[in-house]
Amino acid sequence: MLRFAVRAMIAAASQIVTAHASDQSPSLDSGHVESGRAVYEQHCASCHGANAEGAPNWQERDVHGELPAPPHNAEGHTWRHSDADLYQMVIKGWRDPFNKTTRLTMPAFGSVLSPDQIRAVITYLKTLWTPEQTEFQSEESKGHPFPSAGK
Amino acid sequence: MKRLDGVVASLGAGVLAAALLLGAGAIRTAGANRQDAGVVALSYDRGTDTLLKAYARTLYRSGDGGQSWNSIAIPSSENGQIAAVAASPAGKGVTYVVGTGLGVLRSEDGGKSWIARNEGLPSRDVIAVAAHTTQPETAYVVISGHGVYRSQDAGRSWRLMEPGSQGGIQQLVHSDMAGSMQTGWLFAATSKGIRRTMDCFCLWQDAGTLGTEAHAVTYDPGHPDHFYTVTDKGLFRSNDGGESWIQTTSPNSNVVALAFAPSNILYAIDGKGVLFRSADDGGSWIQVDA
Repeated sequence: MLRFAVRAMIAAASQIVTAHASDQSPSLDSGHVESGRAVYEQHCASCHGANAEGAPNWQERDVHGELPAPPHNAEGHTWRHSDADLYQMVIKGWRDPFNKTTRLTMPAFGSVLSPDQIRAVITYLKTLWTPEQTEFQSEESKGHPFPSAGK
Repeated sequence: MKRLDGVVASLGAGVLAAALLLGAGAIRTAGANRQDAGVVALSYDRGTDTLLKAYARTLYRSGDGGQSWNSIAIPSSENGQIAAVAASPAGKGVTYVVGTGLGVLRSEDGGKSWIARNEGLPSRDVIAVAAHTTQPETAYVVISGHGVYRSQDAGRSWRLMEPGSQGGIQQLVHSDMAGSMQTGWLFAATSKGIRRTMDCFCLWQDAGTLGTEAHAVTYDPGHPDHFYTVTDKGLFRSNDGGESWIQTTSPNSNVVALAFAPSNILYAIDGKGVLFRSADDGGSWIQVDA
């Protein structure tokens, strides 16, 4: 059942931007991608999974009433957010307002990662999405890009 | 049950163009002469402090809390039926009327003129609309059999955001309740109760466990986590973004739509157009004389 749901989500996600999809994904700097992969493996993989597959049953609250870490790959929803929003979420973290604890759902990494590391890890995540998702995220980021260097 | 399943022929572009050229008032007259079934929608326009109510073919506005109503002319179609109305909280005079066979109509002058905004939509069978709380050019529509679409340019273009139906969305509202990863939340009255998602459409979830079909939903703009819903089991309210629901009294058993005014008045209307108001979150009701 869960497998079916996941397949359905991927299929649905692919449909979402069909009208705007192009065959060409924005090119990503390979050096940036590799450094982002290293940041991911060190700081993100423990919660989001070695392959960005997310925690099991990430769509359901756990015994603490918290949402588990979602996937960052094509099965998740990271691709729905602009660069600016993703950057801020990494810096400040995020708390699901319906969490049954007071903890942040996504911890803040503003004092852990440098701006370059944050840009790099988000760039790495972009390699995990479908072309349609990448195109959607690129559109979302047009008015909401990464903050300029130094901010 | 408030359901508009009638799939009707699309409104021809030529008919609509003629309607707009000839003037909305003249066109509406033809529609108003047909049998108009019960009330299908109620909305509060914060920009003009007026109530809007819609029947399948006619739209009305009240500036005195529902004591008197004036009809608003809209371009109608042979088979089009209004399904939902949404006044934008962010843009004074910005109003959407949608319907099956009618598509999306948008007004920027409080209903004096209307423009069809269907470019990019797969059909004109629109069953719900929500205006963004803080962005006057952003709106969401539900297309029968196709999912939820978003426009960020006043309806000039639309993008599919969610292909699922969430079990049959009957009404959709946008709230600026805190805690969203993006700019707010969408709450949907569905056959499974109330469902919600952040407006990134990241994850739809059941909002509490109503355990019954929901037909309408509204919220208090002064307290964006306070919601009210009409269900098969009566009226309920939530003070925590839909996590828990408390049953309130119902003015009668035929309420089909709700609206909340910033003056802390909750309005409920039944299918026959009888309007009620509550000044205590649905604890007690007074019928509005009309």
